[in-house]
Amino acid sequence: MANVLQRGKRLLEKLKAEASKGKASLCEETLVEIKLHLTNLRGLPPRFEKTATAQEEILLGRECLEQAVLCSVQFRDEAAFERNFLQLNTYYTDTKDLVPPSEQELVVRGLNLLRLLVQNRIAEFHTELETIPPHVQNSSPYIKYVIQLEQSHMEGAYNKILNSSKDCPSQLYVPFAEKLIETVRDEICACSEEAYNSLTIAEAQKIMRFDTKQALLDYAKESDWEVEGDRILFKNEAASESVELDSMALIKNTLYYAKEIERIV
Amino acid sequence: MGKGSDAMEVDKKEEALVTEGGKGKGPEKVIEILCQNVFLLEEAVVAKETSLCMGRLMRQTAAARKRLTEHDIVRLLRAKIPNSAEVEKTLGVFLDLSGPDENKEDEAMETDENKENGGAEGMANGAAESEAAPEEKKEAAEAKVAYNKPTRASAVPECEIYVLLLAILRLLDAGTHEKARELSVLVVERLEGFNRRTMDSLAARVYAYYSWSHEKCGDEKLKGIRSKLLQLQRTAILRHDEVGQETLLNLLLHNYLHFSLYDHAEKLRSKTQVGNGQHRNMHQFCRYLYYVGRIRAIQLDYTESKEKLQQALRKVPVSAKGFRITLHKWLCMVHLLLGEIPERTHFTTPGMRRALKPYFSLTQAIRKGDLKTFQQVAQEHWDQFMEDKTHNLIVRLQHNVIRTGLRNISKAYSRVSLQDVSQMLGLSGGVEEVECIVAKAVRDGAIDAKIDHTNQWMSTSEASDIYSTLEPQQAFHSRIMFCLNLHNEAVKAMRYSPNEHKDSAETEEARKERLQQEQELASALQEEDEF
Repeated sequence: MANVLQRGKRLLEKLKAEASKGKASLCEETLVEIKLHLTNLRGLPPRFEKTATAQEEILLGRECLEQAVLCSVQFRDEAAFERNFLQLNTYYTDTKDLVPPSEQELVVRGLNLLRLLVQNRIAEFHTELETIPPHVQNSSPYIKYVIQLEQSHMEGAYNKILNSSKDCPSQLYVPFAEKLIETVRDEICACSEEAYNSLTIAEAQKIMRFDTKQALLDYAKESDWEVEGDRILFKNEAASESVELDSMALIKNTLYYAKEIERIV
Repeated sequence: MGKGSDAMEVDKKEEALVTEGGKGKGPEKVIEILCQNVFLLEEAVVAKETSLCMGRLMRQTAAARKRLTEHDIVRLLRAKIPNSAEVEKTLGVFLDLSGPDENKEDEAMETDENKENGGAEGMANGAAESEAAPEEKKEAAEAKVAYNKPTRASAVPECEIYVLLLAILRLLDAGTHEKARELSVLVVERLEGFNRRTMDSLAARVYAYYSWSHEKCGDEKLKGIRSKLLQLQRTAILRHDEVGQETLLNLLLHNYLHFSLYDHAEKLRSKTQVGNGQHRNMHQFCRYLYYVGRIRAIQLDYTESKEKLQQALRKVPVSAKGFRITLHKWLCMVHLLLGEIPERTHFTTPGMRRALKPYFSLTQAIRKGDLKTFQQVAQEHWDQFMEDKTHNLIVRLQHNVIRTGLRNISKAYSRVSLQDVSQMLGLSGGVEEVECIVAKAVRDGAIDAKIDHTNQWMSTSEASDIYSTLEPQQAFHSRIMFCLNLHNEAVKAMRYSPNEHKDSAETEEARKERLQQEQELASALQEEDEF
């Protein structure tokens, strides 16, 4: 058993080294190897066998998966992140009583919340948030940061999000935070379309945070905005809908009422 | 533990209500009530129909519950259950029989019983007894004779479980939760040995108290029984034990929600089929609706959440006050999150005013759209909200407050500078932030306005005359459809099932039983009138 553990640790070291060099394909290979290797450990979930080294095994398993999660953040792979996190979550919930809590737990959980926010999965975001005890929500900078982002998102205070992404609590949050900015830009554009009659190009570029004028013009083309001179005109919905009675529908409804009332009487 | 007590209260309160009703009859001896119950249970088991008599059984048990002592249980055990020695041995460990010594069988019992009751309740009950009409006494006496006739020992195991259930109740009432927990574990183990459909209803009650007693003993214990409950639920499903399924599903949901595992709860709920979508037991159904409402609220599906919570509120018995309060709290939150302001009557229901006070002040703050007051209220009652597990919903509310404020402003001004809006809303982020917020509100349709970026103001669009559109016609149509559907549903609900008439030839015994029940009901109603 000790042998297996040793090998697991060695693999983990290898993964860490590769991750720090930023070699995505190598990391992936090692990760597969690690995961296969972990199946040899019998103390891990879902078996939870009480082997002599159970605690060490769980600690190792947890660290491996944590590293896997961090790797997927590094390489901006949201699907892999979700997969790894779900595996890891079992450790956080079910082995709470068996091993001391991990230092990385809040970082990883915060990252997961941020991921859900980026993917606009708000319902899951809140479900996940419920599992974090309130005192932790207020004290941990990782969690608090995400909660504030979400709140600004709901309020529509997009500029707050854009500004706050600069002061991430950890370097690890940067990749997702950048993604969030993209999501937010789409939101801002959609809002501007409704809220303004027209904007000058310079203003629009500032509000929508485009880096260049050309990017804005491309975007405008995509969303069917009219550009006149240096102004962008947003299409207004034809406000005066012609009020015309749909007589067929009206007749149909009235006949239906008559039939129903006849049944009652 | 607050939530749990609410959940249990549905039953308890109802029981309590009936207890009060029963008192008018004058104190029947506990042991007699219990014997009657055992008799009732036996009859039902023989007729293979326990689910119907469960309500009555539990009501009568509740009537005796307050006065129940360990000695009564043992006495009942000796009188009615064969092989009582074995069960008694088990119970002996748990029940504390060192209380006032009174048990001397038959004659002696009579006097002791009076002495025992004389202490606490003698005053009230004594008065009630002397006032009670002699007819009633006679009636009661007759009933007593009828019930006590079969003095044979009961052979059905249901009665044994009933006695054990009584013991659990007694232990819980006495505050010895740890003992109750241990006993309930034993009883659940014992229940697994049976595979009798007549046991289902009783078993469901045992499960409820099994979970309840574990909860009383702390979070760790409650967490520990999760897999056991899941296993019991599987068994219940395989055996088509519908009452058991409903109860266990609720217990599991309660268990998950207690630890805020909304994800688990929702997965379990969505994968469980509840007996053809119909609930057998109204209390369990109520609770189920409440849990679903909570899950939906967390998942931001407020419309459905509101629907479920309202339905639960309509179905819940009036006397389950704690549960009603909890429902009111959640419903209020959902209303607010939907951007509606709950009606004032919501908070003024007698007896709930104090409990709902934090939510009332919250509503007031939101109605005004005042961010500062809102934050103040939230801070002030934070502990309460934590206890209700609504704290995360409160955080979500903040943007509703801003919305309401914005709506008020856009109603009052046809054109207003963004600077002023920022001041009026009490926002700290400056004009830029306000501009974004207003833009989002416009997009979500909360206000109908346009922003002029160059001049930094927001101008409200003229409200168009709604009567010039097709809107009223559509509203009218949907209302008519609603009424017609309601009528049709009502007609459908009144229909008899096709084979109803075939069972109408009831046996002599069943008829007697029915008459007996009707009489009971009539006298209960009469009593109510007298008050």
